[in-house]
Amino acid sequence: MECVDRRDMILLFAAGVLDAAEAAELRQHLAGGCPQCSGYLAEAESTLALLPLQLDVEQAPPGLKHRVLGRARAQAARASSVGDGSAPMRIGGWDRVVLPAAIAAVLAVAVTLLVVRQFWPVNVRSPEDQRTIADLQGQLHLVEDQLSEVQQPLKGMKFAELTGSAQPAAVGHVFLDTAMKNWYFFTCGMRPAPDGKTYELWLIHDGQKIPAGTFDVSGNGTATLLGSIPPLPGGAAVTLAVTDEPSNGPHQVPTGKLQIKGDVE
Amino acid sequence: MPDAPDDYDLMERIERRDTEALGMMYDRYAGLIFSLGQRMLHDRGEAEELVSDVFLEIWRCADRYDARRGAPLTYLVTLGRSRAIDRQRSAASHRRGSVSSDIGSETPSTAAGPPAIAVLEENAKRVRLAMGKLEPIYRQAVELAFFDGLTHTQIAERLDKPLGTIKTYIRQGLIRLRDCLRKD
Repeated sequence: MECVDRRDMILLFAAGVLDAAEAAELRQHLAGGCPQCSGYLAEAESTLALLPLQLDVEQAPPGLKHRVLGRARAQAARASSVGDGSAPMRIGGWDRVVLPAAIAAVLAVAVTLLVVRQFWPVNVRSPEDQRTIADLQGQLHLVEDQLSEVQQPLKGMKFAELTGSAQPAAVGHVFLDTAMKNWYFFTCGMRPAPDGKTYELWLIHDGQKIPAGTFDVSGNGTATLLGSIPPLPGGAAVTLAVTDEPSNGPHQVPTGKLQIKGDVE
Repeated sequence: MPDAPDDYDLMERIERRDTEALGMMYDRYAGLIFSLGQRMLHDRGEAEELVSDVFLEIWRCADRYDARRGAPLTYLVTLGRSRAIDRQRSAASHRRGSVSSDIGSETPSTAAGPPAIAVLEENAKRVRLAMGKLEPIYRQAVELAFFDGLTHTQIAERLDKPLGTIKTYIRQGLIRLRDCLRKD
């Protein structure tokens, strides 16, 4: 086939609608560096890139630009502090010991952001305030990214996110370190428990509800708990839940209303 | 007032880690990528994440952009469509709890500039004209392939037409569009 005969085929290829066999043949040809077909591909891509212009363009949501730029700044700061070519994080015994500190860093930024967002009146936010919030969000994304990198090679670390309709503004995070037999719980956005009640965390496995500790939230709706993972069969499906319970606990079975709940991934 | 930098200048500055340039690029094209996301993903939250993904990817990987292969707009839209198709096809995708968008109003920077807006508007007119010249069934087949990421077979089922006919519609539709847009 002459290259000029491939022009139409390349257009379909760029649009992602070429048959698989023809696409494979074309991909191989393009990989050979054919300048004419590379030109056809550029032509096809620039044609297709115009198609979205027919849409009625809507402004991106307010606030998104601040978040994107905040995250970009945070990534730039991180790249300049550790160098782009830094070695990947190694997770060994010591890292595992300091992991809670890393988690705490994520949570600290999250709490700061939450407090700032909740208690900073919207109508008095100056551009400087907005920049501060965007920077905090950037930091949050940065530490989330760092934590995500840590999670990748971390065998035996499991996570759960707890949410529930009883407290739509609340979210809980549980990190289970199965190697060290520990778990770490953090929540934010929870309302204080009603008078005479407290919150209790439950670890649920195979229908059995194991009490994991009671807690009260601080004035800004946050709380943390640490504990030891009870013996469980390998690969056991585990759910975590928070209920409100009479404050004369801890209790051995839940009696109160479910607040937030989530499955361990 | 100095001329607004063109898209190529902005890409060069982004590669040099200039967040102001990233902000200007955002002002020019975030709305387009957001609209593309809404059209392809049918969800504002997903579209918002798509915008974030695209602009952070050009920030992280600006050195991948090759001006010889096409204009920055081509790069952005190709990237946006590709990431949107990833999301369409990712059955296991979980939406991240998105932080609500109430950080106050943002005024797009004037650096987007009247010339850049005028070029976009002119191109939009050309595309609408070219699309308008297509037979409706051709246009529908092209849109289902391009925006909805459907396969030939899925489009044939959706439009209740034979597979071969659908292939012809898409092929002829795209070729006519290209020829119409290149001719102008």
